[in-house]
Amino acid sequence: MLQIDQLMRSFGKVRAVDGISMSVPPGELRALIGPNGAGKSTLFSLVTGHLQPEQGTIAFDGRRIERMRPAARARLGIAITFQSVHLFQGMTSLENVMVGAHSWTRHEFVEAAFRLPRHFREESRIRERARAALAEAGLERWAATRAESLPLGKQRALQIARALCGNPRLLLLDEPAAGLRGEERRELGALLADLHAQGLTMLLVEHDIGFVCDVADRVTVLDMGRVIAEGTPEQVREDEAVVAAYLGSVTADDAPGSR
Amino acid sequence: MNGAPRRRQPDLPRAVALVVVGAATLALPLVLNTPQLTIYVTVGLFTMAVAGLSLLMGFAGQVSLGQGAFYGIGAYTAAIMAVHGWPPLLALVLAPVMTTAIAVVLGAVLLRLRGHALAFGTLAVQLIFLSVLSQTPSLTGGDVGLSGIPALGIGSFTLTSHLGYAYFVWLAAAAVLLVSRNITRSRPGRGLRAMATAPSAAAATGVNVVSYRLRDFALSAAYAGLAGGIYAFYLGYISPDAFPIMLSIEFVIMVVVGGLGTVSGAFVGAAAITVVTQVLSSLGTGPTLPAQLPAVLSDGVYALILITVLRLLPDGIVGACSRLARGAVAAGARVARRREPPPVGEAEAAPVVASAEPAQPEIAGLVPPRRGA
Repeated sequence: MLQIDQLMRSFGKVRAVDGISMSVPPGELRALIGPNGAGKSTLFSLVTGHLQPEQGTIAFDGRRIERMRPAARARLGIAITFQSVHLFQGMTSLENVMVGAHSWTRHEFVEAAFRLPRHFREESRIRERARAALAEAGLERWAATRAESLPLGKQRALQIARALCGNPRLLLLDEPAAGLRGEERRELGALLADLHAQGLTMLLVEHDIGFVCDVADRVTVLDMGRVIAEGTPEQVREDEAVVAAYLGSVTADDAPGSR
Repeated sequence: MNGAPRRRQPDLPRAVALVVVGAATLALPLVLNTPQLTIYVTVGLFTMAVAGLSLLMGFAGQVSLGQGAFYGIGAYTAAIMAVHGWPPLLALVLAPVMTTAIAVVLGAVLLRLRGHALAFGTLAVQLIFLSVLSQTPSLTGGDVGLSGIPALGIGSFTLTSHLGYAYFVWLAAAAVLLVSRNITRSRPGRGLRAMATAPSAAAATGVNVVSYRLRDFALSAAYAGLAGGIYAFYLGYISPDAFPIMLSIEFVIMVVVGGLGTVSGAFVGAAAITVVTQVLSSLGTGPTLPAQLPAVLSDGVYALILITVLRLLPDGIVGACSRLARGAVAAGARVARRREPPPVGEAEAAPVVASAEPAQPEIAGLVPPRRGA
């Protein structure tokens, strides 16, 4: 479903992504991990379209997307949640999620201004889909709450609901568990497991090994802009290169993001 | 489409306010004298121009100091065509069309700028507009202006009375506000509001940020162009003096005083500022009053009023009112909740008209605290 080939991107003299190739088959929940500066965020931005690669290709469903703008990628069925929560302030949770429907709806200013038929047709479908997405993320009760007044855990869930409202075929998650504790974290894990069970393909960038091992099918480990290991969570945990690069000082699941 | 009944929370206070304001503004022209009707028509025209600017400032988060230029372009388009024998109604329809076309061309270049740079860029548009006017006397009448604009009308019916214009402008302003409301409560409106606070997230959901910004700019110019067109027919004479830089600045002030990011704020701001300036200038002119008084009143006192409003009501008059109303509703809801638990998911999305928050730059403080590294 997602095919990355020999991708390169540098900042000044630093090769943040140095010839990465990887492939995510349909229905897989793939995690992308690595120490700070490994190139996870750069790779993520290259896939979302917020950065452009210098070399290499990214294909989604066999279509080259590495030069497309983010909005065009969204229309192909790629949805994103951000690491630092990017919600639309001053809008309710429901409205935030409804924005997510932009990728599969078409009505424009003139149709909205004069309330032409397509506006009504699409609005009711958008509302219905948004309510369903809110429910999936367990946020029905907060539909009318302004997004910025939700607690962090709910804001992250809201980002996922917004992404789901776009009916994505590939969901990219950038550190969805960062800053979450106990219950919130378990809820997030359950939500991802749920989506996984429905067959949604996901690429999860995560700092937290414990979280990754609980939810991911396979793990790709980056270091210094390269792939140093790939396999099931168990395989990766025992890989010596990984241990040396990343897991060396981590003793248990409860040391996320530290090194 | 789907048979499920949609529950809408009755929004009674807002509906009542709308009906009251609508009825009052419809009845008002009947009791006004001619100078007062002129002010009434001006408020209507400014409401339209300000509604456009409000879409731009409140939703796309962009400040334009060129709204007066688009108002002027609309006026000159209508005037030039009508003077050259085109049907007045067609000239009026083409005023916003021409303004939109010019805005699209200018916007494609200018909207690469942000913040203050965009404000200055649009200010330059108005300066250029004014100097083009004075350099093209054969077409625009130059500094003297264009006179002899025929009356607006269709067939044998022509609009000539002040009262007639009052109602015509009322209709046009109401139509413009309705269009604004329809847009804010729809897919493109949500896209605009989304990109005002989080453009990269908006783009990631499929909002074409560049194109939306341009459409918003064009729409805001169209409103001003329509208002300008009506203005040309109403006065029957236009000159560059009617479109000073100060006019654009006043439009910005009206947006802010009325309430950024609200649809009704355009009317409230336009009415408040127009009436205040008129009152101040009529207070200042009298046979026994000192000659400096008009200047003192229209600049000094005006500035004081503005500062006071902005200090006390940072989200504008409409913003303050809806905050009060929300407070009252919340208090009522607390009382009600004590009696019975509310059904889950009952509340419909909050109405946008008077409550959408002004666009702000992305707020760094909202980034959640990170654990670990």
